[in-house]
Amino acid sequence: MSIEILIDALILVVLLFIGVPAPLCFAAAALFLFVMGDFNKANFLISAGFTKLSSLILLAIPLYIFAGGLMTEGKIATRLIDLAESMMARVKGGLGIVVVFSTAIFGAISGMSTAAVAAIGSIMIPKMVERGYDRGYATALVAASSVLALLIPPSSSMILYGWVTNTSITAMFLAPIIPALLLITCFSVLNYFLTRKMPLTELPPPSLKVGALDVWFKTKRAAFGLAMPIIILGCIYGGITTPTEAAAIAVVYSIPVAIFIYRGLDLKGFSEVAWKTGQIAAVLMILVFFSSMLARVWTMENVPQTVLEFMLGISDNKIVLLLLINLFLLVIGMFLDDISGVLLASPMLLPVAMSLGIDPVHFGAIVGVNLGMGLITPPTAPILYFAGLIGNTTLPKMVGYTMILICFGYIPVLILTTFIPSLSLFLPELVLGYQPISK
Amino acid sequence: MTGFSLQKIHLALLVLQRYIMGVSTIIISLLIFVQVFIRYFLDIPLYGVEEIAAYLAVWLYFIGSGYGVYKGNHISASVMDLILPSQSLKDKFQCFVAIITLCLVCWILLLCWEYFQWSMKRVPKSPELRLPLYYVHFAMVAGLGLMVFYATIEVIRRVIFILKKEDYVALVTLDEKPNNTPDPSK
Repeated sequence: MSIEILIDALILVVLLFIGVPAPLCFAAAALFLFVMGDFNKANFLISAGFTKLSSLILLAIPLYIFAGGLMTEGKIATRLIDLAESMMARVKGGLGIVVVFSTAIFGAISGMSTAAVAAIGSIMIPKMVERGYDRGYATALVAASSVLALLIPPSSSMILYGWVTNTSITAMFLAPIIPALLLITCFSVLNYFLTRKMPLTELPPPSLKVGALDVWFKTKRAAFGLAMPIIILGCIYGGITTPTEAAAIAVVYSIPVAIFIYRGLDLKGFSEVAWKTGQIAAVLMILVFFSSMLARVWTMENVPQTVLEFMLGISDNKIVLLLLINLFLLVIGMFLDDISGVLLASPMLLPVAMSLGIDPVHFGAIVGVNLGMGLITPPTAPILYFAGLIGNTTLPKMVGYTMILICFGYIPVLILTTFIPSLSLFLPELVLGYQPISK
Repeated sequence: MTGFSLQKIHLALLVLQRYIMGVSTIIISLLIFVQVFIRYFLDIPLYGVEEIAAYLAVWLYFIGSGYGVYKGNHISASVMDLILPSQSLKDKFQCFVAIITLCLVCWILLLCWEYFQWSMKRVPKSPELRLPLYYVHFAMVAGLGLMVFYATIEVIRRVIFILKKEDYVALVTLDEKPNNTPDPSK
């Protein structure tokens, strides 16, 4: 590996560690190679960023954030929790499962793990504590479940992965669904074991008839919110619209639902959601601008090829290399958010994965699960800290439970996702007739 | 100019940025929706709508990035807060980080300005509507200009706080105190 590339990587890592905003770290790494290289003007760098940023595909991201924001302000979270609670009324430790399910569905609607923590966590954590659940556990469970938003479509990380690696976004929406379902199952099972010794106060279970009526009533209350992901996916997989167009339909659908049906939003609230959406989208997309500059200069300097040769130099054993890739992705996930992680790691590691016969769609699912796990893995663990703020607790009280959820939930699912390609390729093959490259 | 009028200009600038972000988000959504609606129900492809939406989004992203520097909510991954023992050391280190940030945004602003000048001279056009692209390229200069503006304010304020030996309070924290919040609807 050339000394310039090593210094470039070092600049990137050091600037990230000291807290320079991630987009500017990408810019600094790009500018370093620009200065060291034999280039006349930087216009090609700016042009690379601009061309990528003005992509129509990427418009899907602000639009999904807008639709999710409108639904969140429309108080969809309460309705989802009520529905999940009515379904779990007869299950011991049911509130924990309510958290997992409602966060997963909320993730499908809002697409953002922070929104899931804020909306579900602020309602569920006090409720769980009141019923005897440990506060640290309740908060850790909300944090771990909220990361499902990355895996359940429509996910911004998967849109970006598909866009960066030139992989079908419709296939990328489907690839992480089975790993997400496995995670939901693992968390629900772990919830049973972890809450066994907690002094839980369970409400008396309703009769089957009353329970069924309650579920029906709550389903009707949440129906308009539940319909949104179905409309989005129906439009995309029915061949009616592109993911970007489906996102615009979701926005137009969620406006009357949030304002007139759920009555959670007025005109002032609507304008606030609109500009806040713009701001969140801007912060994410400026990363795309600078990472595209870095990707252009890396391609010109043959960095992906160098990384490939370096990795293959370590070992030619597929299992060892896959474990190394996972470790690398986990470390990236521990220090960066999912969007920066996808933009940084995917173009660098995809050639390595493909040289091992890993399909890009399968690799996308591996990236998603890894980066999701990184978001709740200390030391940086941004989602865990955020959940701590919402749940009014500290890291030491959450970390033990979080590590159990990681070791017995995320890691087994990650290993399965990595070594059983069908888990991520089955749905794209079934729904889209996708042909994996490894076959 | 008095401190009061400077404060008013500052708040007006924030409101303007929020308006640009909010209005562009709404317009982009509507443009894409109308395009799908007309194509699906009237079977007429609407020419150039996607292009306008994508270029409007570029303005949204850059103005929002400027606002992001003011809010301090650009994505970062600092581990120094976990390592440094005292608030005073953290403040000094963050001042150093703010200076690096300012240098980088100034450098990129310069490169974007050169690119904009090239665009004014060569007048590249958009593929569908043949619009001159300097209207869109200027968004990069405007957004990075805002980033430089807010990054400069942060460096100056951080240095003043260090010299006064006080804990740093971000500008956004002061603005968001009750009775001082700029209301975008007004």
